[in-house]
Amino acid sequence: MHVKTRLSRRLAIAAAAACCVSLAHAGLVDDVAAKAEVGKPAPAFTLTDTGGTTHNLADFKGKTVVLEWFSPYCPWSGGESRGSVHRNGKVKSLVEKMKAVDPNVVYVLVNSTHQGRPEKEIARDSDAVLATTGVKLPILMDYDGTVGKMYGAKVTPHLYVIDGEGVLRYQGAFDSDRNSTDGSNYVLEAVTAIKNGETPSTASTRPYGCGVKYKR
Amino acid sequence: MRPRAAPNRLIAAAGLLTATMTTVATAQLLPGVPASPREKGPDELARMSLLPERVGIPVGGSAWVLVRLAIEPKWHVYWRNPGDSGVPVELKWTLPAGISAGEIRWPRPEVFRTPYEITYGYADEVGLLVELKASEEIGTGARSASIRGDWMICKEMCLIGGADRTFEIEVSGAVEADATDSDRVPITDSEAFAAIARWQAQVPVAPPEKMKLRQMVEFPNGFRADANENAGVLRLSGPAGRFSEVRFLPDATPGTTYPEGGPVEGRVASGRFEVEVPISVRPGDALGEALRAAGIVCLGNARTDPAFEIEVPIGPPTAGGSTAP
Repeated sequence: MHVKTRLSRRLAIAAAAACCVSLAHAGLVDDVAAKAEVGKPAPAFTLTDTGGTTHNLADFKGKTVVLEWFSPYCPWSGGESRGSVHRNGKVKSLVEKMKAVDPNVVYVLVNSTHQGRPEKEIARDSDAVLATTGVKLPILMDYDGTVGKMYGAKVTPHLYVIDGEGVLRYQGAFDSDRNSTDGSNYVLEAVTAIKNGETPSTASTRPYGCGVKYKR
Repeated sequence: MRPRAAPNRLIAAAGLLTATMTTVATAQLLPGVPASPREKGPDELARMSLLPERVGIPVGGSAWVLVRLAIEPKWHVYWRNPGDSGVPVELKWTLPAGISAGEIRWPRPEVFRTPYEITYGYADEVGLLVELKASEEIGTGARSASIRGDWMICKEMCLIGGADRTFEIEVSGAVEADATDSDRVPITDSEAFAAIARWQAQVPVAPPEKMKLRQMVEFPNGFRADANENAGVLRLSGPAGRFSEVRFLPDATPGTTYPEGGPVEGRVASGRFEVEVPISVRPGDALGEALRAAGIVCLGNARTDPAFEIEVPIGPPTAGGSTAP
């Protein structure tokens, strides 16, 4: 009888799910074909954060950029839960470790949540999460979901690491063990590899989290 | 090995009745009032229980344990491949030395479609079967053990829940070499026997030889292990019986991806089904695991309708550009 191997913690979310199959049928997020692909230039964008500052990806040329898709309501992202990477200290730890490796690394959150809520409410709720955790990060509002769909962001948290040349080097899960701090952090690994002039050994993993509630 | 209980409607009904009665009635939600997740905390939205509560295992033998979740209406937990988002139910066992737990035998899941995504999992209730094994060297007697369950549970929004349960293991003397399946579960625990049989019947099976279910992967342009990407097709066919619907639900296989947008529908004609699943194989993403195309092929729509495990290894190229098991 076929025995399905229980994927180890590391592999359970590390099953590769790179770009969607080109023969895709009836995708729900189908307005814009996802253009983000590891090894290719990351899609350009300009977004405004909850504080009113505008960020253009091109401005960060020369620096490694980390994008984290975020939702204040998802228990793995900003929601009130032990699984929340913001509330359980994982993001704080990651930012500290990344800056120790590369002081110039840029880490921003992108919020493509729509869910039928007013944009102001989402922005306010997002700021409230970061006020609780005390880690200051810009929250880029992508209310109409255009940037999220370009990147193929499926869940929160979904992470992307872009090198100084603007090439996407990693996309996928925050880390290898959603239930503990024992796992590998793929983002830190990617940032470290880029700093050392290498290609990240893990380029693409399957992210865990809640589905992004795009505008319909 | 499965308990031999044939699909007996009385037993199934008894199991269902028992499961229903254990589901606590919930507060009625007023129409127009948004459901507040604070009414029930995440750990109450799914109530975990174990059957049997005292697990009898012979030395050198094994026994089935059923981990049941009674799920609040409208909420659901996830299958081993959750789909577009979500994380599977996870079980962690704390067992005495000499006892080990096998993998979860996942029952056939439902397909949940929301405006945002398509996911696979279970609403109302689910029973997850796990086989506990006792080594040859273990001594007889009672021991305590525990299990931790963690799950993501969603309606429109999602929460993370979990529960801990302690239970007893009674290790008995070794059984005869020709012991039947029913010797594994103490006959005195008929509730456990019925529930285990009921959920075992929903676990997809490896296609029996006589069914002649064909499963193969073809690469029209050949397959190269050093290629960045290989485009292929997983072809499935077999007898459809009385069913007119068939679909394929993929597993999360490193290196092999399947179309976006949920299960791949097949067609049924003249009592036979056919499913064609476009796949993309990227050997570089396999993370050290053997490349394969895998999932379950499901007839009909109900969780109790037949489903079969599919697994086709993907290996070095053959002359015809296709690989078959």
